[in-house]
Amino acid sequence: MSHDLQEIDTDVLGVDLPRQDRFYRQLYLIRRFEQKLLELFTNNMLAGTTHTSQGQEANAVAIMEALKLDRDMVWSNHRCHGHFLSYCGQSYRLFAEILGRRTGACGGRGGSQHLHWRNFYSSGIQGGFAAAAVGAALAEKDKGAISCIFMGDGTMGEGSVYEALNFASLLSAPVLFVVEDNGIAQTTPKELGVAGSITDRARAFGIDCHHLASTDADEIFATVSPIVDQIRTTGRPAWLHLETVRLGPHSKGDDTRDEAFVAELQKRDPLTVYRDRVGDPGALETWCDDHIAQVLDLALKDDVACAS
Amino acid sequence: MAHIDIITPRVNANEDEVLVAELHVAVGDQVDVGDLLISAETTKASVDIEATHAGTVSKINGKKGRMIASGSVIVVIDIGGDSAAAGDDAGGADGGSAEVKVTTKARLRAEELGIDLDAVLPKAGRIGVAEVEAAAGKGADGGPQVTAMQAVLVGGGGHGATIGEIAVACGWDLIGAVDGKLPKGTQVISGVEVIATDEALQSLYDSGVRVAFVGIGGATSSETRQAVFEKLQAIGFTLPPLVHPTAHFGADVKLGAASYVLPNAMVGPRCRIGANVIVNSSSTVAHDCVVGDHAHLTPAAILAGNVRIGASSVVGMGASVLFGVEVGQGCLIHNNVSVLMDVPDFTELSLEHAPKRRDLDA
Amino acid sequence: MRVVEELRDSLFGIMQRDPSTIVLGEDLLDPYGGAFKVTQGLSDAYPNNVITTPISEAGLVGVGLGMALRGRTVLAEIMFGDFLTLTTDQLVNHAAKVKWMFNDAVDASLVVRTPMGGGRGYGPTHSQSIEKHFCGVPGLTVMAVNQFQSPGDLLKEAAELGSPVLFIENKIMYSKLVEPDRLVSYDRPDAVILTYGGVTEFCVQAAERLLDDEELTVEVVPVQHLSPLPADLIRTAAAKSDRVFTVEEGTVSWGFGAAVAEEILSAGITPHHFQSIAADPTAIPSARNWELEILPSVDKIERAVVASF
Repeated sequence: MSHDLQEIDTDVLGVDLPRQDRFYRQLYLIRRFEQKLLELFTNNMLAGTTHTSQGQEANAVAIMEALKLDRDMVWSNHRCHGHFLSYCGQSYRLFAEILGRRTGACGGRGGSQHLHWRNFYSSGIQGGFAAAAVGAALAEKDKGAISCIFMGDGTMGEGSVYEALNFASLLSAPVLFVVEDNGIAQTTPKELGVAGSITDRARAFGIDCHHLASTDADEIFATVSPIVDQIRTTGRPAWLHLETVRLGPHSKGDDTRDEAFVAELQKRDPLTVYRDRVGDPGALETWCDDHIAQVLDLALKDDVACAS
Repeated sequence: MAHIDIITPRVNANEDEVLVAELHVAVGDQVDVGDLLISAETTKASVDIEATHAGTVSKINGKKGRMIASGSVIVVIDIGGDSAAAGDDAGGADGGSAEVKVTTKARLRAEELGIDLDAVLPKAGRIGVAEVEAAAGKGADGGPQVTAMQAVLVGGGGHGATIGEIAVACGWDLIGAVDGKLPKGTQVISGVEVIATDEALQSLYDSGVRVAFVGIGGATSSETRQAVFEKLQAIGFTLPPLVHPTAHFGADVKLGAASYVLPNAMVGPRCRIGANVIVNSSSTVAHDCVVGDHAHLTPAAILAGNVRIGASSVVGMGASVLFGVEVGQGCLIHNNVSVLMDVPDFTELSLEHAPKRRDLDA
Repeated sequence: MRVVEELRDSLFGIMQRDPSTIVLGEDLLDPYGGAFKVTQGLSDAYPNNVITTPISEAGLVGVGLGMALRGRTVLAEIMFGDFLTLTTDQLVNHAAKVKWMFNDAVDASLVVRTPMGGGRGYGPTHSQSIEKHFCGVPGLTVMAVNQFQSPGDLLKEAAELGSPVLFIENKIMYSKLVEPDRLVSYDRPDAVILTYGGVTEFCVQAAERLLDDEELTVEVVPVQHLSPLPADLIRTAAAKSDRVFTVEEGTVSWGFGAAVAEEILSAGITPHHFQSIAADPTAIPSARNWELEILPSVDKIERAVVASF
């Protein structure tokens, strides 16, 4: 296992595995990682807050697969663990970060919502990095790199998003804007927070808009790959409205939705959708369970971050 | 002298100042209409500032290489002739005003040294630290302490006595009179005698005496009095005006340096009396008159309203000047003449003779 | 040389030294060259490096931040300082934070230039001096030019810092001459005035008048680095005199004067007289005379100094 701060951990990402095995292992890794975080929180071993991406793991797995991780830039948000793990596989650094350890990805400074690793950046402010994603894409355009920024349906209320869209189109920035629409912003259902169409929002800026309602990693990958290729070829931005599900609470214990409704959503659990497609899911799951136990153990032994 | 203000132009809307790039004239230069005075610049453009009137440059506010605010006066041109504005300057900073500016630092220094500021002699109308320290130094040496109210009378004759009495009545402490002809020790008025010739004025000033009164009259000519006035000014003396307690003053009267209003005289509202003027006993100056520097309105002279008397002119006893009439400079109006129409410069008017031109230089 | 020319020359110099530098802002393209002409000529000389932007202050600062995060030096112009409020999230939550929250692994060489100040009758939303709201933000350096210390050198310093800088200029200062010889230092001045930005000129004029009219020696100490404050400069200056004044163009509460007082008092320096001169606590009227009444002026400074004795 590599702890090099500059590295993408190809072992953890499973780059040598067949794609479907790799997808399932990453889906499972993200799920178990975040379940572990909730356990740690319940056991009072974790300070602050954490936003899990249960139900949305396929977005992270499929979109990272479509990007060129050696050059492309990823801009994430408060719900960023899945994006981070699929981007670089640095599970140990992420545990250490969230646990407030010196060895964390950001030395215990950023915590759950503010992560940086190579070309990965996340911010706890909705839409806060939208314009930065545009600027970075312009700065690296001549290197053949693109920016991918993740937002949610709740981000659609932020003016910064629309300023960024205007710039991206005017200046021809190669940016993939992804809206992970899980239908609820903290406790506010989309119907109360978003007017009009999410899919068509960027069209008025002269940006190609795409829509997909899926939790199937293969289907998402098949949709995203040509969009990414098109962005890279044309140097123009694109907009992807991705309807997904939120199986857990916003952060912890703050799910106000009807239990029956959430139970219905469980049928679209991306792990359930995908498990049948791999030959030996049990082996992939065991690898992940062992890996998580191992890196968590390591992280817990690390020095706690403090000022001195 | 009338003057014209040349205003710094606004060259563009976004700039409140212009840069003075070049001065093409100096104070004292004669200029004609259209002559280039100043070259100014903004970030965008340069602009030539030209003379709008012919005359003499009397003041330049801009400095080369410095900024000056648009709308402010950059050059002043004297265009000659009398004007009401001249009267405004009469009591100005040339030593005429009795009002003394005390600098903050001087006030602090006086407190520190325990010096009474009333006992400090101003210099050019101002008390600074140097003046306070000079006063402190004299006190400490045990030498003759000179106070701010001490003054010297120039001229020990009859007019000198008249002015001396008024000065004393106004609270001045006359240390003596200087006179070129009268022997030392001659009593001028009670307690004031001739102490030296006027050769001693500089040394009196150097010893700390800073105030002087001009005790020279002149029934037919003001030339001697003008010469004394200019000498005192050159040395640096403060030359306060005097108004006898029995004189009557209207509102908004301007009185220049070393101008004296004698007993029972009357000066009407809004009159402008220049420097070194005598408004003699019982003379009447009705409203809105302008009297030039060094003029002498002798006893019982009468000026009706809006009369103008030019510089250095003398109006005789019992003479009267009709409403609105202008008497030029250097004129002599003999006793009892009634002046009914404007009088050109340097004219002598009498009851006995036809008007004739005076040659004051003869 | 005028302030605007120094700043422009400095921008050209920065561009020459690092041809990857980006300058962006509203209405920057020649022949207009920016509302106050600081960038005039730049887009003709460097067409690929100067980006004219939509009216989108948060967006342009965010785009600049993204470029800076990827290694570019970026100089963004906000047309009026009042519009900085629109950039607050980008400056305070992002630009100022990235280096620290990402464990010093990144930085952003981002300079946001903007003119503050009144005196032009532009009214409540185009005349303010609101830089104090951006001071005291860890990770965000705030600098302010004055025409008695080289504005061009300060801009070069800002661009070379490598971290986010809010760079405060002043509308009426652009056309002023740079005149370093008008700052006078004394061993033991009668009063010290600590100030910054556009009102520095008023302080210098007041000091010159006070010397001429009152024989008072007043040392004007302009502060170019507002945040973090240069403690040594402030304490050394304040310790020279029993009378310490601060002058700022913004309103007084939670302002420069309070920050200077903290620096002085916490160092055990207790002047006999301390006074902050600032704008009246009101919005800025458009009516010209009214505006001048509520802002600091040479007269107000002069009167305050005299009254302290």
